[in-house]
Amino acid sequence: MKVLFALFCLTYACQGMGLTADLATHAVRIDTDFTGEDMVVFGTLTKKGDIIIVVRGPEETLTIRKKESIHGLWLNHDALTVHEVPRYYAMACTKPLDSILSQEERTRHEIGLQNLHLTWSTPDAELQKTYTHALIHEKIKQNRYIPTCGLINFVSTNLFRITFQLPATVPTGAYTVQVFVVQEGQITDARTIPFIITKAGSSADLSEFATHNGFAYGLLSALCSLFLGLIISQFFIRFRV
Amino acid sequence: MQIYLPIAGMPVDVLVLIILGLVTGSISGLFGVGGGFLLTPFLLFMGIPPAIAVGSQTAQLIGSSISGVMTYWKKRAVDIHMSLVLFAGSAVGTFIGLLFFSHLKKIGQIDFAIAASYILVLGSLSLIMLFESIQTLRREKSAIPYPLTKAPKWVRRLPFQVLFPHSSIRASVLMPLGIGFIAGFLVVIMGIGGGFVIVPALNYLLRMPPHFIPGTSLLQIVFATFLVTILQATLNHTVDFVLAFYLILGSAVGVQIGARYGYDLRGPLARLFLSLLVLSVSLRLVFELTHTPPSLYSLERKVDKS
Repeated sequence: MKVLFALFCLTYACQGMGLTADLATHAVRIDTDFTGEDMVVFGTLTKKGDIIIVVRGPEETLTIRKKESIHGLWLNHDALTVHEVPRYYAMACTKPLDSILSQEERTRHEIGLQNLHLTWSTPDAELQKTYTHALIHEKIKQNRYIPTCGLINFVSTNLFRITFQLPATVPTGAYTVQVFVVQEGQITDARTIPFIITKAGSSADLSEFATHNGFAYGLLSALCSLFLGLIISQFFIRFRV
Repeated sequence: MQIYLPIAGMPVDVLVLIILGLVTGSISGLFGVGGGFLLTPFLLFMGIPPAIAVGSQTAQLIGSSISGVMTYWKKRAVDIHMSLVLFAGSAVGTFIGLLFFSHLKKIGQIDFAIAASYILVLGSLSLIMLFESIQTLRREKSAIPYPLTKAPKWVRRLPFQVLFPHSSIRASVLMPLGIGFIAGFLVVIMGIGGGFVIVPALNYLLRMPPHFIPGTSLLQIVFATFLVTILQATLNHTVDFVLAFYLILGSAVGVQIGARYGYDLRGPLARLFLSLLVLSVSLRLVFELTHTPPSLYSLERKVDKS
């Protein structure tokens, strides 16, 4: 009995060991010389299958406004509010998405820009579709959503790795990297690895100060601006005339 | 050299900021206006979020305007009493402007309000200024020199007449109070210095000697933008000091260059250039409002303090 039990545990543990994954760094620090950062995801897959990786940023609530031509002028008219919008979204896969995963599975796991679970302020499905399309379009323009799936490289038989290039304007907050294993059109295994992007160093201090002590920050900024202008002008007036 | 702007949340090239400041500062020193109407569009073009462009701009204006004031001060061409009365008006205008601004933001019409204010107020002012300056330049030889040209009758009839000793004008305090009010209102709504309203008003309505106008206007801008910077930072957290810092490095120097020539620039000629500049921006805005925008949809974050 004990032997059987041990064998059972071993097999169960081995199944879980099919996939391992991790990130090169779990904390991205934005300092004064930040111009973007590479996020490296790597791992091993010992069984046969494909991998899909999704990087998601923190969620936000947005108001989407639509312009309309009113008496010849283009003005904001209709608006909708949408919740649970990821601030960043990027994907990587070993093969094109639609060739390895069914639409049903993609919808279930929110894989792919068209399959995000968003909460809208209106029940109208047509409106939701139009606005979702506009939302994704704008986010792609802002470099926040990456429309193409990056290609995952298998460095050796079991070791894979992919680099996501986080842009300079990447939003701060708690991010997740989801690694999915796809076998025969189904998701059979997954890992979720968190990482965080924060402002660090003087950027962070200044940001903190500005947010929590708005008045003091404002007064100080105004005074510093005043003195800076004064000093520069005095330099010119006294030494050049 | 790139530097990351903490409040704006993006890196920018320091050199670009300094050069931008230099150019707009020169215009500021020449005419006595803030230069914001040129700087803000450029900042937006660089990708800086509009609210932060406007907020940081007001901080920048403090530095560049005080630089200009110092040059005119040295030549004793600043009417400090007038500036103070103007500021009394603009302080009130600022508060009313802030109320308007929050309401407009809530209903999503702030962009339109900014464009409309620009076109209506600055557009019409610059048109008037354009015709007047051309007329004056034509009649230059036979024109009556200052200070014998008088202010319009209705202005002269206003109560509370006071003598402003520096620039030797006798005028009602109601005039600069009212002008200041409009200017203060525009500082908040448009993120400009308000000089555009003040310079023509000092010229046409109060008949202030031309070499006093830029310096007096710039001093008022210093007061008004100091107030608005504090308000913007406290209420909206939209002031990025790092951005303002590098802009001031350029503009405070630019203003010195501009002010050097501004003192000698003949009144009508300065007004001609200024009006053409503002008019071209107004026309551009009209074009943008009436033609199909490149993007029908805009995204706006519901800001939570995180």
